[in-house]
Amino acid sequence: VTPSDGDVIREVRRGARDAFGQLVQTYQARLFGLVLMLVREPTGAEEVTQDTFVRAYTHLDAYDDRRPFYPWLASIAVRLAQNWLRRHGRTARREGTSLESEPEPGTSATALDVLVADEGRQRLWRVVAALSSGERTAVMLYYRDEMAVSDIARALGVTTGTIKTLLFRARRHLRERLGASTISHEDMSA
Amino acid sequence: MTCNHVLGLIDAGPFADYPPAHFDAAWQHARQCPTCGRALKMATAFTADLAALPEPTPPSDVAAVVLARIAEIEHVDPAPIAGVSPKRLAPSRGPHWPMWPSLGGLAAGLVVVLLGYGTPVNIMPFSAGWMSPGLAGMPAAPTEVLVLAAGIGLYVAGLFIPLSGKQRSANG
Repeated sequence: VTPSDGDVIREVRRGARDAFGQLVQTYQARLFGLVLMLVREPTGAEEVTQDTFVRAYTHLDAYDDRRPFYPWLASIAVRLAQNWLRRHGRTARREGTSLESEPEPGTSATALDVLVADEGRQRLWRVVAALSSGERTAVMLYYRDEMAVSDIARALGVTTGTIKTLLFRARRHLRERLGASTISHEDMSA
Repeated sequence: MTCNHVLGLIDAGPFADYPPAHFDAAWQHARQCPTCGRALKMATAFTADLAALPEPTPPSDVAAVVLARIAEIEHVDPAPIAGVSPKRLAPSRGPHWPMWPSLGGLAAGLVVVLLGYGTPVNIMPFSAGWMSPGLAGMPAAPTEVLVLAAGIGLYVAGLFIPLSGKQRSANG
């Protein structure tokens, strides 16, 4: 029987540091995927993922164990990813560019492709990665991580209305960009 | 029902708030309109794909690196329980100022007062301005004077030692 997050956290709080490794194992792939989508750079994603777990450990007393663990962890990751983007000069002005434009400095499409094996998924991954920072954060947390809008709003420190707006815009951009890429692909095939 | 309105409904996804009849009309339009039909099909597909977005493989040693970093932090600033600062965990060791010098000083003063009780010494046998002549219980013997001086010294030390300690920790 796998112990629940709550059991593991109680164990860690009692001083069993190594038990925290179980939480890292459980969430590392999910968290790394989120962070990679936010910072769009594998080395940066690795750094932010590690920092998130360390921060979670040192602030474990702030975690309310009546709530699920992952949204709390994700909220730390989002803040650290935003700090990372600020430190590395990824301003909002540069984000949300079209797919045809050159990748942002430090964003390697090839590096991301290596991490996502399936070719069909790579296209969607790239289109999501080209959304603005807010839109792709909302998309990842809502669709992939299946977090409730209220949990996302709490994690990002905004209202639920803002999250709904971000998701609305993200869906419109995805539809437009996926539609455009499908049309151009069909044109090329013809 | 216009294309713009239907596309808006498609983009709103689960957050569109309209009566069912409104949606029926919109999807009816989408079935007959190539633009909206295509958009609806695409939105349905990518919504499912987003839920199944793959989890990229993280570096294999994340757990080991994280635990090593935590161990390093705790080595520098040991916290027996995660997330709780060592200061908050440390059991209280009573008042921070050293009481003993002050208490010693007070005790010494008390001893001198008790010894000298009943043997008043005239310290002001004359009147000076508003001060009137009077008697006060003051130590007469040199031993008592020394004990009293030592007591005052201890008392003052007890008052000032904590201040110098705070200054040191603030500078350090």
